[in-house]
Amino acid sequence: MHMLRRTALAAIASFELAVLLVALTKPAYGYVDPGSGLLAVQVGGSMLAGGLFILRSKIRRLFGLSSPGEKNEAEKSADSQASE
Amino acid sequence: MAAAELTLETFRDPAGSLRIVGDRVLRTVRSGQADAALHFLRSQMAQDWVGEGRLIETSFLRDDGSLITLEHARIFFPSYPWEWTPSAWIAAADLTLDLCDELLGHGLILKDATPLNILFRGSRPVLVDVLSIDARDPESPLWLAYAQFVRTFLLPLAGYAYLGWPLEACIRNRDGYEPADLAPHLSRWQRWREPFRSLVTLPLMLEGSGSESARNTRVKQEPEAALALLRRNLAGLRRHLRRIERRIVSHRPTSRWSAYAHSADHYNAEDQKRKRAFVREALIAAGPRHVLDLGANSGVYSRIAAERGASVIAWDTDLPATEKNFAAARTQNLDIAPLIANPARPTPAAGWRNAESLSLLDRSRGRFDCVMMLGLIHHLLLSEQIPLTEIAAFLRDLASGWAIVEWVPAADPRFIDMLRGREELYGHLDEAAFLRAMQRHFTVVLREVLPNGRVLFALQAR
Repeated sequence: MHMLRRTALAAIASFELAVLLVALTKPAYGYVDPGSGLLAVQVGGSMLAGGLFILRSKIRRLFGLSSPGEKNEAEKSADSQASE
Repeated sequence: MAAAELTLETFRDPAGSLRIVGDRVLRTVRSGQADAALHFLRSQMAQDWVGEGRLIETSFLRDDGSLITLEHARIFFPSYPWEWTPSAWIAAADLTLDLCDELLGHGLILKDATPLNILFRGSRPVLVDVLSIDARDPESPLWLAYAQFVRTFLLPLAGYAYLGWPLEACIRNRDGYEPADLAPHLSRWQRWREPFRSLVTLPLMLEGSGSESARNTRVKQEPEAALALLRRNLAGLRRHLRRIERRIVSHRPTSRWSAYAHSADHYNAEDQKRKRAFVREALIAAGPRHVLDLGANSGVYSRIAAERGASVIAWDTDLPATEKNFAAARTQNLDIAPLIANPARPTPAAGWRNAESLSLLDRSRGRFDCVMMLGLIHHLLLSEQIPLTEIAAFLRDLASGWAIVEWVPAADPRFIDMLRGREELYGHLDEAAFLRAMQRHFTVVLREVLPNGRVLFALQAR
């Protein structure tokens, strides 16, 4: 069971990375030269960190843990209910 | 003498342009091109930044449908990065990263990031290019100005810190250095160590590999991830900045002049005390709002003027001394802007058609109601070989009201040191010759002879 879960997680992460690598959206309108090598470093770093970010979210969801952002939202909601 | 009439119009940002006309700073914005910036300028956050002195004051003048006109407060003396000390560069870089970071959470970003977007009020940096503020694509994890920040802030600072490249040389490169500019000058060891591994070596490898990601500005991610990644990118840049700053602090060059005011052997305690008292008295007589301190060194007399309420621009060529002046101004929160500037070789105009950056003197003529020139005249006479009549005319050119000047007689040990066998040419120069030159432009109001033989003058413009 444990092995199966790990394999599933790895498959999800690979899929997410593949999606990220090919994802193209709106054009950027900045007028400054975004560089080439420096842009590539930023893109590569973002891809890698983005993959890890998504992987971490998936793991949290799989184990029923909320992400820090979701936790804050939940706390805010509880606070607002308490103040009503 | 009337202040120089300055006219300058920027043109690179398609969203608008800026003109400086006399003392007014007017910005024209093309309607629909900068809605996010205009909306931001009306927000409480913008007002808070203005209140904190981090953003230039802006008022909306008119909206004729296609063009919107804004007016900014005029920063008294605009300076350029090639006149800043390393500490000023770092303060400007930190402000850029701070503001960009704060904008991210509000769906905004800085669309460009260059030291030319920053001016200084005293030793405090201010973002003046309000059109830098733009809406960000919530799904993009890329900061399109990342490379510009590296080129225009980090690589010049790293070049200075690790290779000894002068920051003044940045006058030649509007958009900073490319990684390829630094690479040939790095040792193998340096290439694979930070900050150069991330700022030079890897970018060059990826640039040369023909990688698609070297052209791809359209990466998309979940908004939450995109925001986290943008913050991560900014934090990475800040880590590089701190590393470079540590290097600068641990490798400060030794200075010939920065301890001069305290250790000069031709000035004993009594001479120094009387000189400071004279400068205070002269400043009371002049009551200036704007003071230029020529040859300011570490800023002893700049601080006397600033403590009396004047806004002081301090020029010196010695970097460590100017750094001391900058640090003291920040610590004591005094209105002093210390710049690396040489009156004998002033910063030239630069940029497209020599009209994008004004020369030092075009920014200075007639703008100061008091100019101080203490312990400098013998350098101008003997090292720079500038005649006394020229020095007097130059002072009058800058000072609309007063000049506080120290005459260094030919018998002074420092004058003799600098003569170096040229007695025939300069040995005859005396106080009478000094007065003949000065009195063509000024009237002597105060005069005091110090025990060491130097003579202090408070001169009022004719």
